[in-house]
Amino acid sequence: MGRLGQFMIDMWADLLASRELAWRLTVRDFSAMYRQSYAGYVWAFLPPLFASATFLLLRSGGVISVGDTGIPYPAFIFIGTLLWQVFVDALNNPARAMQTSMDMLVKVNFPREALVLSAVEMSLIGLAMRLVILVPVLAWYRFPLNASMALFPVGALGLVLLGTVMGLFLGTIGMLYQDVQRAIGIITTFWMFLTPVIAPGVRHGAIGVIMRLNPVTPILATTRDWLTGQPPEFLGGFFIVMGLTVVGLVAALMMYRLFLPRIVERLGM
Amino acid sequence: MNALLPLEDSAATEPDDTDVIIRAENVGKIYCRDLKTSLWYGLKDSVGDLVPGGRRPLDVNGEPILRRGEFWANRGVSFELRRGESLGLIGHNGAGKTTLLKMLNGLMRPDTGRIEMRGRVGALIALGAGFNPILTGRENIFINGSVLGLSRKEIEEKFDDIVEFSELDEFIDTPVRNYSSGMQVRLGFAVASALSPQILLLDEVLAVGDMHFRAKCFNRLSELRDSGVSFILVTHQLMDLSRYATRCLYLDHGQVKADADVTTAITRYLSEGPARKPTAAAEDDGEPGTGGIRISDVRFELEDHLAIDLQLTSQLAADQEIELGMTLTDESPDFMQFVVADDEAGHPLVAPAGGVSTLRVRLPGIFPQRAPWSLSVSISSRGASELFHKRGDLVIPQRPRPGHFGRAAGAVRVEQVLEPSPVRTQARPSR
Repeated sequence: MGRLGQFMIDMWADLLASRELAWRLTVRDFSAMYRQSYAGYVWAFLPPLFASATFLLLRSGGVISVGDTGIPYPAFIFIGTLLWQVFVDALNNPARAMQTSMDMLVKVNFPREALVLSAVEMSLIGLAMRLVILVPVLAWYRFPLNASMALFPVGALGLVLLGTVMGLFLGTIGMLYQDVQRAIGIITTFWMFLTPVIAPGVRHGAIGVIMRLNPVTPILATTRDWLTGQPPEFLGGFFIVMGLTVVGLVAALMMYRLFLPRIVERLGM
Repeated sequence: MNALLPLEDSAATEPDDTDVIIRAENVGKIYCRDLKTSLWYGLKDSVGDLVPGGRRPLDVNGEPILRRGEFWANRGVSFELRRGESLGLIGHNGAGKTTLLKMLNGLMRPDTGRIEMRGRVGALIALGAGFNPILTGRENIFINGSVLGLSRKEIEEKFDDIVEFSELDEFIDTPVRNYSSGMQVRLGFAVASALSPQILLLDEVLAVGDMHFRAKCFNRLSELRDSGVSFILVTHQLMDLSRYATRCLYLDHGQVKADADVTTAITRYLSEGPARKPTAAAEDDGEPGTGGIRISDVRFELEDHLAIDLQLTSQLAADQEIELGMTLTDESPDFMQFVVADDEAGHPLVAPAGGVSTLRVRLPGIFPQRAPWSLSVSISSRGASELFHKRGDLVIPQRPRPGHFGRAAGAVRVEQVLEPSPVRTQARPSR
């Protein structure tokens, strides 16, 4: 038991205690995001739409060539960019929650876990909104209903979880050094091309190795395969990464709880 | 954070201890001057918490050894507060008052010692925390309330009271961005004071808002005090102390110099000159001055007008032409400022070499609205090239009898620097 045990118990208790506040913050951020906008929720759909259009144009012009995707390429790329967006949101939300609450963190004693919960909630809402547009796309391309579709939510949640864990680590360090925030912005673009988002996984060469080591690869690819009824190519990797993610989640929460108060007190002294 | 969360309002009723609502034992906090170094130390300490044997080294007394750039913001602070008592924290800027308050609020952990608190802690420190300017007042009441620890049900119950107190009924569905800063403060105060805490922490919050609302805030605070809420307040307004505190800690360089009744502590605070070597990051007005001429005594006479006698002690080798600066404030944002360099006959004011002299200053008949006032006085060389001494926060307990001041009872607001013409002064070197 000892110190560590008590630490975990307190952490769990604070997580539970912060649910109401977290939801309040989520509603606040969500309302504020769309209060001043006419197009409103449409903005959530536009990035994958435009990304898809871009790569369709590039491919039809012969600028890029893409191997066999197994399903119609527009659907492949649309689902890919949409899932990637879900991951990036989850990656950015913890840091955003911490940065925008700096003033509160310095001055008010509230359970810090509320910010993490709120970040996860924001990511989940983003996911739910994107699903709304996924349904007509699937119908348009006449994807048959199949049993593996039922596994899609598992994969999508895994994507959110993976992004959140990475975002928690990076976000906490980002409170210390702003360099982290800037680096994330640049790296995510590059990262997308090392993930089978716009083209199926590469098997050979240096890129093939990187792509296989990239933790997002198995989660994103498997989720897409489940949704479209394809045989999941990276199923083994999926389970390994998910296992690590769950362990990582506990570690990230511990680090957050341990580091954040120290950082905040030094920033706000 | 858990180490500092207030203990549950314990149902236990041991006769000895239940009266103690705050106990601080040997509380110390170490700060670091340089932010980057500070963050690096913070990182190291966090890791050190996890690794066995990773804690920072201690000296023979069991106290942490300071690393380069570090200093004690609070050291060896011990006190107890019992139910019904209220505590004022005074001291020069950088003396560690706010740091102590932050530790009591659970915002940071002490580096040494421990703090125990019983009962719900409220803080009137960050009014309107979590406000989102795009959202309406109504939405922000719920957000701010949640941040401060109220449940949805509690907020719903108190919602009408909050709106009524803030007097924002017709604007409650307007975005907070369109509120004036005064309106935002009103809303923030209304929510924060609805918290019904047992211990209330205050840090100079009442320096804002219009006079009518400030009066309302003071009334609310008085109600809370009378209902048995314990206050811990940091303030430079010494008159607030006598109103809300039953006891006072005088802090200097992070250490408790006096733990006494309000008058005794204030006297100690005023009698000990400015902190010569401010230690903390904030050190803007630690009563500066070169000390060549000191204001050794100040007396007030409240006859048909306010007369202030300043006793000056000069250690200079030659007579010095001086200039006198005075600022008079009440608890509203209004203030009066005088700069005086000549006596009423038009001669320059002079502090004679190596001696004691008295200046009598008569103030004209326009005053800030309400007594008591606080007064700060500075002595500098003529032309203000050198500041010799400054004393802040002298308290004038009551206003002179009305009648002699014409329309002073009306809504006169004085906000600019007045010319010295209405002020009559007399230099009377006492030989």
